[in-house]
Amino acid sequence: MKETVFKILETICEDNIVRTNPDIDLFETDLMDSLGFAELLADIEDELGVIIAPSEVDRHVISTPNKLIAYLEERASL
Amino acid sequence: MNILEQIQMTALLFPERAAMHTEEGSISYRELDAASTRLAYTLQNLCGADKTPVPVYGHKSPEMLIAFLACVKSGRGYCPVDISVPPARVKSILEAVDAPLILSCEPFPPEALPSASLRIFTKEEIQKTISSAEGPKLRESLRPVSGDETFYMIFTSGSTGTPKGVQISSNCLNNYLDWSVTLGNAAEKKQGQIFLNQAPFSFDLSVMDLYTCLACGGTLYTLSKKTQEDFGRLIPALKESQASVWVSTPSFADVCLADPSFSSDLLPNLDVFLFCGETLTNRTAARLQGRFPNSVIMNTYGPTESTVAVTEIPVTPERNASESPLPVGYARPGTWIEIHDENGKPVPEGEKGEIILIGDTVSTGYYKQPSLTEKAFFCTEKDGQSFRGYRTGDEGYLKNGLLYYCGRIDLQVKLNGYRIELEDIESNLRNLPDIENAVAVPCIRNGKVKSIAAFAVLRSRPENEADTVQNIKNQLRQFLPDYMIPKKILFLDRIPMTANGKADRKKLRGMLS
Repeated sequence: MKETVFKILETICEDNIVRTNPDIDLFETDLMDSLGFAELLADIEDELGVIIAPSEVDRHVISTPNKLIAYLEERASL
Repeated sequence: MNILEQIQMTALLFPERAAMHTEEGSISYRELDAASTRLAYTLQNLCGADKTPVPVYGHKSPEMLIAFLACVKSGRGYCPVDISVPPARVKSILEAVDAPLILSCEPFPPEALPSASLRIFTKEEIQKTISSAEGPKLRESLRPVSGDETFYMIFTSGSTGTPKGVQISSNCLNNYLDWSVTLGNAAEKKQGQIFLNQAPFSFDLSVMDLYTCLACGGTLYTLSKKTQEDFGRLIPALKESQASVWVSTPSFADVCLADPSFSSDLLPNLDVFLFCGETLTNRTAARLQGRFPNSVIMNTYGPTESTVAVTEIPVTPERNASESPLPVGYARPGTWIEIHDENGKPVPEGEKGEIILIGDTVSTGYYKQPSLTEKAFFCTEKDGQSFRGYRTGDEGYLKNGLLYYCGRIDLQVKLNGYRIELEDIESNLRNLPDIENAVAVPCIRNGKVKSIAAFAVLRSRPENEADTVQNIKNQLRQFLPDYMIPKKILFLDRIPMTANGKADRKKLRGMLS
């Protein structure tokens, strides 16, 4: 799952910094805008089958690659 | 169709119906008609014989719409300038228009003022004018724009680094509206319905919702920039809208689709999605069909130079399953589409070439730019009548009367519906003190431009690359709107060249992946 998330992020952010520095804030660094965020959620739904509602999940909860992975792992364990 | 008469008619038949709903309040057809007429008289008194189009600065307040209609009622075109345009670019637009005054519906940034003599008619003055106790003077003494006179003028990115004004005449708009009211469902079904407005008014996609709505006596429900950027506000706003007609870029639908609640449960009245401004992908269409099984999805295509859009096609699940990429549609009545090779000769059906548009919605040309106009526009005969034609610079092909879009033949790109000349970014980059040379290239994924990257040669080696990138982006923001700021800036010792001495854009694009 981790690898899938990194691959998705790398494609959307067009930068492998998401892998080399997984604590980087995706929104503060311009790596991801609202459209990239929408694409991220769509890809996660398509490839991992997890639906994240942006109006229900605060962006800060998933603002770095590590936080996003932690969030998805928690969802998977429920 | 005569849009001004149509609005007046709705104001008489349904005076209290809302013409526009904004976060700052609503305005009824009666108020809109009366207020715009009052402001038109004031404009006529202030400008006199000067018929220069009037820049209207602001975002999505009711005053914006009042100002637009006031200009055209007074016999002047208007030129919408959104608050998202940075002051330096507002200034260059104002210099190009050279009007005696501007109407400002939001606080006007002082650094955007080209000369101290330009009169700013402020929001407060607009409000005072339209609420003055004396009723509007006799309608007869105003002469609204008609025929080939400019109704509106929209500035688009220009390859020299300064934007150019596309003039759309009263005839163009009215001819366009005869067709746009029929898109997706019958014009009668759109009567009095709610139309969603996503695009800022300085983007001509907004003409599709604004004027189609007014032509149908509908209510325009606007989404402000702030609301669009925040899901916590966007989803409730969509629910509140109860819109029947959706007009947006496909990218905006993608943003909405990120929320699982975006479905026919949220918008049960939604009859039609009208998409324009960029490629509609099969993926976006399929996801929408899943969420809105009873809504019609329309793909359309057209440049600003031929009044918003000229082709249409409903994207059914069958078509979406069988065709990739999707066609952009059949020509509207009144538009002829031809595909030409580089020598200007028509190519056989099915072969790729430049998309040429001829017909009754082609712009009268670029404002005060005769040489640019001559390059892109021409006159020709169709059915024994003379029509204007426009060379789009888009690449495409025709198959059984259906148009397919393949991209650009020059250095223009479409990013999230925004039209960008890469050379516009490059010349603004080169104007920065630290940059010696720069080339901008599109990053393309799944057939769609996803972002812009820039390669730059610096005058001196940067101490910290990341800081220098941020610094360049910040400097660029003074001159270019956000959507034109490259996402990635990479430094090179020199720009690779092709054999004939041009920047090797292909090689640069290859360096991105």
